[in-house]
Amino acid sequence: MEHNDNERRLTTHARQQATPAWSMDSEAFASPAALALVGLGKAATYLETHPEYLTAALAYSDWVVRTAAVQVLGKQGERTPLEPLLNALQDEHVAVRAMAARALGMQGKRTPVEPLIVALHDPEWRVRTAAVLALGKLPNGTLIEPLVPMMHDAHAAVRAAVVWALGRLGEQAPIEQLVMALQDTAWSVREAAVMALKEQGERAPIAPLLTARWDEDSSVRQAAQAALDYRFEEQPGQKLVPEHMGRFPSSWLRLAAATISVVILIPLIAGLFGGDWYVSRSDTISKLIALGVVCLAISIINSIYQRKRFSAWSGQQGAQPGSGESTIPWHGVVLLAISAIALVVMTGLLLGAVTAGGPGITADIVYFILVSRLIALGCVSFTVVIVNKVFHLKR
Amino acid sequence: MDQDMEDRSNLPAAQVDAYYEQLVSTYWPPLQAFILRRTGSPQDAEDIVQEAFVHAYYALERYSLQQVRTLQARPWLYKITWNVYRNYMSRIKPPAAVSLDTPSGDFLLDLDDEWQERPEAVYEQGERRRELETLVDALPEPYREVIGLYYFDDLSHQEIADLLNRPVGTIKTHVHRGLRMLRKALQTKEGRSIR
Repeated sequence: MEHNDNERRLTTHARQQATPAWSMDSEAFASPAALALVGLGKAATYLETHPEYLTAALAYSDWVVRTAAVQVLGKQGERTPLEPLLNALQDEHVAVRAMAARALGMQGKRTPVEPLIVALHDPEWRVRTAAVLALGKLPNGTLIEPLVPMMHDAHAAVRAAVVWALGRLGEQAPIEQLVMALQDTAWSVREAAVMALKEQGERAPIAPLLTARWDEDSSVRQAAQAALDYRFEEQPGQKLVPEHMGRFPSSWLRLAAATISVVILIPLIAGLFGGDWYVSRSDTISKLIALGVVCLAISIINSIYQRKRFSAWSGQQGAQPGSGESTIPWHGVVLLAISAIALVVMTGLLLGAVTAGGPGITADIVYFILVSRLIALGCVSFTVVIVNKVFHLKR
Repeated sequence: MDQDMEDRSNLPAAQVDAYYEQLVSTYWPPLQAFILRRTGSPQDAEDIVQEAFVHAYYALERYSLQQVRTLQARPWLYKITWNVYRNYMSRIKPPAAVSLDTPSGDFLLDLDDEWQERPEAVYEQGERRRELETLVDALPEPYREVIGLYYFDDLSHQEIADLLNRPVGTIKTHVHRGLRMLRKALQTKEGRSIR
């Protein structure tokens, strides 16, 4: 905690005692510390309506009043004199210095760069962060050289601000540095990196954004998803997968698994319903139940193995959409063709001999067999559809 | 400026300030109570929440308009505060016990108006609450943390999962098991006192 006891006392004191020399009573400027630290609260409200006191407030003994004065001054735009803000950047209190850096960043083309670069080395993270954010807002483009080393700052808020500032550089943004920031230990930095990469459009590699969709932090995951949604819309059968995601099965393995799941139904149907296919009603019902269980198992195994969201992109992991590569989902087409053939074979097996009849087979039994086999066909068809759907399924 | 450019641009400074003021007025008290229950020190709690809000302020400075629009302020602020708290604890002190008292000295769990008028009932309730506090403290770490966040801080399963970076299913299990342990401990304690 960077607040020491002295500062805590100051904060409390400021909330209770801040009394400027002019006509305010002691309670008039009392504000929550969280507001006073960024120059907001009652002091700021008062100074906004009484700008004639700004000069006096800038020199006031209480930092709450000075911070508010700097904050109000910074918002005055072209009328703002830079001198008091530059002086405030040297203030003894961290809140005043941080607010001065922020106020200088609001001056557009008039923003002085050198003092802000010096402020990057302030011992307080709040001042460094404000200085980085101010440099990131320079209308003529952020300066890379002083900012890149700040990516190794000890404080996450500073690093996040640096990543944000670098992301605003457009064509000059250092993509490699932004991708590296995705490995930062702080979620706020990783989130900023995702947003910065989003700003780079086609220049940014997709793989790191895809990987960020599995980040441990929910904010980073959501930002990555939003970045991908913004850049392109995934099409059915064109599911994007990150490169080097070794823990997920390759697309060929997945296709093999899905194919086996479909083809295995053929010998199953032949075994259960082929040959001497009718013994008794109870026997047929048992077979139907067995088939139902197997179909359910195949569906569940596929759902788990295919992991729903890891369908392959154009057969090549890490391929980029819009890169001119074929977008036909070949794996899906192959699986669909195999599924169609398997279904035709199974339909033949199931319905081919129903009307053949035989000794002791009454019309009633034929109807029963027909219904049973239609149920069996429904079972396997449903399973085949599930396997195909899971293979293609979008997230 | 078209809609897309507008969404990608940052909030103007005045809007950042206005939104920040709104966040402070809405979330300062619950966040302070949230941290105070863990540190037991009002001054530490104030410092931590203060720093968390300053973090939030600088984050808002760099967030795009679209990000701010879709921001779920409550879980976002709790996450920032939780991170600041964890950093603080790792630097300064060992983990503190969960306290069920609020900054004003009131008990965290709801008290009926009727009870406010009956000091003996309040006292009794206070005693029971302290017993509960002791029992919650005795729970193993993952359960103690999750039970505190779920019941005392009123966070949802999903919010706790996001805060602790754990799957929501794990959080539900921890809440369920933690409660079962708590119930068992309470029964054992009551059984002992009857004997």
